[in-house]
Amino acid sequence: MPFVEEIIKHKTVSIVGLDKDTGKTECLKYILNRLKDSGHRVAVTSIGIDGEGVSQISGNEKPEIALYPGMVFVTSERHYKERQLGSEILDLSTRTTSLGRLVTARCLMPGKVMFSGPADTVWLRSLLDELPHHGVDTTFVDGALSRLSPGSPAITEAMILTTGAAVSANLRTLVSKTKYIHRLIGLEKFKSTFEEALLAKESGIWAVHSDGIDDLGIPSVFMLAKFIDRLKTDVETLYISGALTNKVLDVLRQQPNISRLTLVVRDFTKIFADKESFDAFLGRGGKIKVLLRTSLKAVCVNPISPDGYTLNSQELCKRLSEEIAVPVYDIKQI
Amino acid sequence: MKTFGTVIKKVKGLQFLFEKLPLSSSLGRNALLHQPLSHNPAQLQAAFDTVEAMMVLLRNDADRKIIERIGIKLGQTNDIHGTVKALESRQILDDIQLFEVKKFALLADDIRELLLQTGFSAVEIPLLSKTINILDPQNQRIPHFYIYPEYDETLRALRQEYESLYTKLPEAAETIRLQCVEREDVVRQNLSKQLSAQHKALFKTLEAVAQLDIIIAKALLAKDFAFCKPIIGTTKTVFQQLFNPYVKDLLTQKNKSFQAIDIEFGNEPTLITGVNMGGKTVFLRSIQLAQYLFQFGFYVPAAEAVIVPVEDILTSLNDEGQAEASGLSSFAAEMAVVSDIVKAAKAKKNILALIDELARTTNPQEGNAIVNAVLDILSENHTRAFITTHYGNIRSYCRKLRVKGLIKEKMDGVQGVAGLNDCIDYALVEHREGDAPMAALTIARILKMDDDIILKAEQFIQSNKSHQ
Repeated sequence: MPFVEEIIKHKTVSIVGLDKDTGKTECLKYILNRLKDSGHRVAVTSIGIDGEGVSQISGNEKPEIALYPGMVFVTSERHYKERQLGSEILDLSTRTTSLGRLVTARCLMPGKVMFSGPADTVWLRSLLDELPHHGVDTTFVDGALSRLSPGSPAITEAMILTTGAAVSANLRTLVSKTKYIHRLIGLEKFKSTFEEALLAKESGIWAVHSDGIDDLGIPSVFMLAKFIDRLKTDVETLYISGALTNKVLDVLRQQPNISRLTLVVRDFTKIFADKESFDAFLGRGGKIKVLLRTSLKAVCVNPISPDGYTLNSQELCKRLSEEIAVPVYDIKQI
Repeated sequence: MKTFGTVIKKVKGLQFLFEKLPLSSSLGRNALLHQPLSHNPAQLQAAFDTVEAMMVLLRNDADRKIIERIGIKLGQTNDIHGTVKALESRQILDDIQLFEVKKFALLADDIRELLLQTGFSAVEIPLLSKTINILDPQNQRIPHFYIYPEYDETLRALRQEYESLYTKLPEAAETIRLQCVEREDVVRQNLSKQLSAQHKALFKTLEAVAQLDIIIAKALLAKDFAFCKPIIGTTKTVFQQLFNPYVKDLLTQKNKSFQAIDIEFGNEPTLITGVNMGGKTVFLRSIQLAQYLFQFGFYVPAAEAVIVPVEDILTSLNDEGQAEASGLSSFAAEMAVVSDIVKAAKAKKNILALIDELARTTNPQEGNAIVNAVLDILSENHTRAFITTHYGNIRSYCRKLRVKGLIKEKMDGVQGVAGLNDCIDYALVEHREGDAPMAALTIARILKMDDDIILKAEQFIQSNKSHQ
C-alpha cells in the first residue's frame, strides 16, 4: 500500500476508529509489519483509560500487538509486566494512570505486548514530544475505542481512519456516516491574522472582527441560548473554543444573521454535532471552518462486524472511494 | 508532632511560600513536608549556615550555572524510597524497579560530581559506584535497563535461539521464550541480592539528594524575597523591619506597599491595642510565620532578626470555620486553645503564644476580665506571648503596645479600603493610657459604611455620655 510510504514522512500518526472493531489494530499490525525491516525507527503508544474499561469487560478489545527489535513502545507498568517480548526500559513517567506509570521501552526480542497510554491528550502530546529523544522517527498512536481526539492535528500530524461493518451493517448508513466524518475532516481552514490568538483560547465564545477578537462573556457553550442577545447582528465570525454540539448549531441556526455567519472551531474533533444539525445549519446559509486541518492519509475498512456479519468488501471500498478523496483499503485483503 | 506539612495547612503565609519554593524534586518536597519543627540551636545554626554557603555559591556566576545544572538533574530524580525499602527487606525487584535504582544512582552520581566542582561541603552525596556497576554491565552509563546478556551466558544463548525460531517456528520459540523468562528471574534474584547490600548507601543518598534540593530552594527563596539570616537568641527576640511576604504580595498586586515593623520581645506577654484595620492580626501572623520559618531552618522575612527558639507555637490564629466544623461555638473553640496555652505556661514550657482579640465573642465586661486573667497568668509564668484586644482598661500589669494608627494629616477625603491603607501608620509604640483607641466609627466612615449606622451610633455615644 502506498500510504505507508506517505505516512512515515510524519513524526506522529494516529489511527482512529469510527467505532470499535473497525480494525484499528489490524491496520496498525499491517503498518508495523511493513516497517519492520525498513530501518525507519518506529514507536507505538495508545491513548486511554476509556478503552481499558471496555477491554476489561469484553476481554478482547485491546489485543496484543507484535513488535520487532528496535521498535519503541509506551505502555503502562501493568501491561509492561505482562509483555511477551524482550525489551530495554528507556524511561518511566512520574505521573500515573489507573494501570500504573507509563514505561517507555525499546523492543530487543520480538514478541507481543498490550498497549495502554496517557490518560489525556495533553499528556499524550508531551509524550509524543519526548519520543524523538529516543531516536524515534514516527510514532503511531493507537486511538482508544470510538474516540477521535488523538486525530486532532493539535496531537498528531497525520491520521488514518478505520471504519467498517461494526459501524453499521447497512452499507448505505456506513457510507453516509464515514462520509460525514470525512466531510468534517475536510472542512475549510479559517485563515486569519488572529489564528494564534484563537488557538490559545481554552474557553469562551469569541467574536472575530477585522481588527481584533472579543470575548462574548458567555461562560460555556451550553449557556449559549441564555446569552444569545450578546451575539450582535454585525458579528460575522464566531470562534467556539469548546464542543460544537447540536444545541449550539440549533440555537445559531435561528439567528437572523445566519446567512452571513461563519463558525470556527479548533479542529474536527471539536465537532460533536450530528449530520442532521450540521446540514440544517449549512442549509440556512451558515458556514463552519476549522483553525487546524487534519491530514487524513487513508481510510481502512473492516467489512466484518463483531457479530459476524460481512459486507461485500469490493462494493464497500468502491462506494467509499467514490465519496472520499483519500485511498480506501480493506485491511483484511491486503 | 508538628512537621512542615502539618503547619502549612494552618499557616497561609507558609503555604504561600511553599508554593513559591523552587524545589526541583519530589524527594526534596517529600522530605521537607515531613521535616519536624526544630528548637535545637545547633541544628538550626547548621541549617542557616548551609543556606548561607549556598547563597554565596549562587552569587558566583560559574557556581550558579553548576547549581542550575544540578537543579535539572534533581528534577529528573524519582522518589525511590519504596524500591529501596523492598531491597532492605530482601525482595526481588522487577525490571521497572531495577531501572529506577539505576537511573537514580546515575543521576546521584552526576549530581555528586557537579557538586564537587563547587566545593560545597555541607551535603555529602555517597559514592554509588557499586550499585552502578551491578546495573550497568556494559559500562555505558546510560539510564536504560534490561536483563543484559552479560549477566548470564545461558540467557544469551537462549535469546539467540528464540530469535532464530520466532518467525519460522512460533511454537518452539514460545517454549524458548518461557525458558528465557525463567533464566531472567534467576538473574533478577541475583541482582536483587547484590543490590540489597547497597540499601543503606541508597537511603543515605536519597536523604542527601533531598537535603541538597531543600538547601538550594531555601537559598533561592531567601534571595527572591530578600530574607535575612537569623541569629539564634537566648533571651530576647528582635526583628528589624519584619514583613509578611504573603500580605506584601497581596498588597503589591494592588500597587500598595507593606509597612515593615520593628519589634522586640522577651519572655513576657505583650498586649497590643489599636484601631480597626490597624494591622494587629497581620502583625501576629508575621511573627508566627517568621518563627516557623526560623524553626524549619529558613531565612526569615526581616532586615535583621535575632530569634529565640521555642518548643511550640500556640495560637488562636486559625482558619475561621474550624470551630463550627468541630461543633463548638467560636467562643468555646477559642477558650479551648487559650486553656492549652495557659496549661503550657503553667508547666513552664518554652512557648510562643499568639492570641488574636482574646474573648472578643463575649460581652465586654467578662471579656475584659478574661483578658486580664490570661495576661496575669502568662506574666507570672514568663511566657512569650502577644495578645491583641479592643477592650479598654486592661489593668493587668504587662507590656502594652499600640498601633500608631490614623495619620490625621493624610485622612482628608480618603475613601475605601485602598485609601485607608495609606493613612494608617502600622508601627507599634508603647501604650500607657488605659483606654483602647476609639476610632471604629472614623474607620467605618472611611470604609463607606451606611451613614445611618454611623449617625445613630454617634447619637448613642452622646446620650451615654450625658447619662453618665
